This record gives sequence, C-alpha cells and structure tokens, in this order.
Amino acid sequence: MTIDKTASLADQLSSFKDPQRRFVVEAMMLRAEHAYREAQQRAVQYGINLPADPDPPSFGELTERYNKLMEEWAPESVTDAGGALAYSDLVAAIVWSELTSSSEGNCRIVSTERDLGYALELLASARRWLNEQDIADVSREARLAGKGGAI
Amino acid sequence: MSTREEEAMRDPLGAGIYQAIACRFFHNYAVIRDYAARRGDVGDLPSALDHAALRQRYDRLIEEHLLERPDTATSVRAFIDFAACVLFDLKLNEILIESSIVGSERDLEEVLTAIQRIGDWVNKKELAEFAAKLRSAAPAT
Repeated sequence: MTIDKTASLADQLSSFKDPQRRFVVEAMMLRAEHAYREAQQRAVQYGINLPADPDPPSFGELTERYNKLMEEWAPESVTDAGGALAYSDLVAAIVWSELTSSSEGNCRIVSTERDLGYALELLASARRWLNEQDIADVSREARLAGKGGAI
Repeated sequence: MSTREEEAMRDPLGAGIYQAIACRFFHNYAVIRDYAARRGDVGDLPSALDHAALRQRYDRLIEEHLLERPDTATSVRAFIDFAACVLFDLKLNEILIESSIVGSERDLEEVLTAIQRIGDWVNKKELAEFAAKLRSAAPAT
C-alpha cells in the first residue's frame, strides 16, 4: 500500500487490523520463516556459526500452520481494495518463489501444485470483489448517461 | 442487451487479453488432441491450429496488451482471468508433463506482470476508498 502522508498515523495503523491483510502478512511471514530456516540449515551444513540467531519453528510446523491459514482465508471473499491488493501481493509472492526456487533447488513450504492452487483461490476471491466493482462502475456510468451527464 | 449496455461492455484491452487466453486454450487443445492421436482415433475432432502461427499471435498479443495499464474494472478482470489461466496452465502442465505455449518460466513472468498491472489499479482504488473514508470522517464545516 502506498502511504498517504496526509492521513493520521492512527488511520494508517487501523488498516493493519483488517483481518484479510493480517492473514496475508501472516502467510508472508510463514513463507519468510520457512526460507530463513532453510538458509539457516544450509549455513550449518557449510559450518557457518550462527549462535545468536533465533530458532524458527520446524519445517513441518510451518507447513501445517501455513496450510491451516490458507485453507481458512484463501477462499474468503475480499471486501475492499486493500484486501484485493493484499491478496494479489500474496499471489505475486507465491509466483515469485516458484520462479526462483526451481533454479536454486530449495525446498518449499508446500508443494508447487498446492501453492498454485492457493494462488488460484486467492485470485478467485479478488475476482469476486472486482466483479462487484465492475457492476457498480457500469451502473454508475449508465446512471450518468441516463441523466445526460458526462461519463 | 441494449446498445448502451453493449457499448459499456466494450473493452479493447480486455479483448486483447482474452484473445491471449484463447491462444493458450488452443495450445492446450492441440496437446490433448495429440494425446488422442498418439493413442488411436481422434474421431471428428477439429484440427489443431498451427503451433508456430499460434505462438506468433500469442507473442504479439502479449507484447501489445500485457504491459498496458488497465484503467477499468472490466480490464482488470481480464488481467485476473489471464493470471488465473496461466496458473491453471502451470498446474495442468505439471500433471501432463507438457510445456505451455511459452514454457513455465515465461508463464510465471507473465503472471507477475499481470499481478503488477492489477496491483497498480487496485492501489489507486484503495487510495480513493481511503480518501472517501477520510472525507466522511471529517467534521462538517
């Protein structure tokens, strides 16, 4: 989201309480933790000492949390532009990791097939919101045209 | 549908994107038809389109339309459908072990581009919603 400098801090922070955006942030965090754990494991394999670094949950735990979260939230209908933007950001993150992981051969939080399935569900949710926007735009234009106003 | 409604539905950018989706379907059709042909009779299934011509047409459509910024919900919906279609192709091709019309790496790049275009439009919409909320929350003068 582009930060509007004219808005108060409280207004801007309130957007982070939106459950759909929170879901996306949590999903991104789990993906990042998974990538971090993998990098940490690789570092240990190469004998790099990381004593002060935090120990993230196990791969299995991260996958379980991620699946639970996605199954609960991905089919949820988006209710505003912020939600649609957040969902599309998560789709981009899924696609980006797909694009980069194949060349590096690293492990994934869920299988490619499942991840793409989630991405499709996220897009379907955003599309439903967009449909409503489209209908609203068309009827507004029709109203304006009916009144003889400019479109 | 009235002429006015038909006029409201017109969307050249969306039309270009849907044409690209159609090319993808034609490619998939050719792949599956070939599966049938290798196993025996294809019955009266129509012939597949020439791959090179289809690919050329697809590339031209993508070059012309995918980088354009959609400015209506109708166009954005075409971009969402395009992204969904490519993701579906990626899943399908993983199952069939076949390549899509352009290959999986370009598929992923095209989804990312489509998502960026969608994001640009939704971001504007979000700012407008935010401004409307601020206006409605402001004390009346």
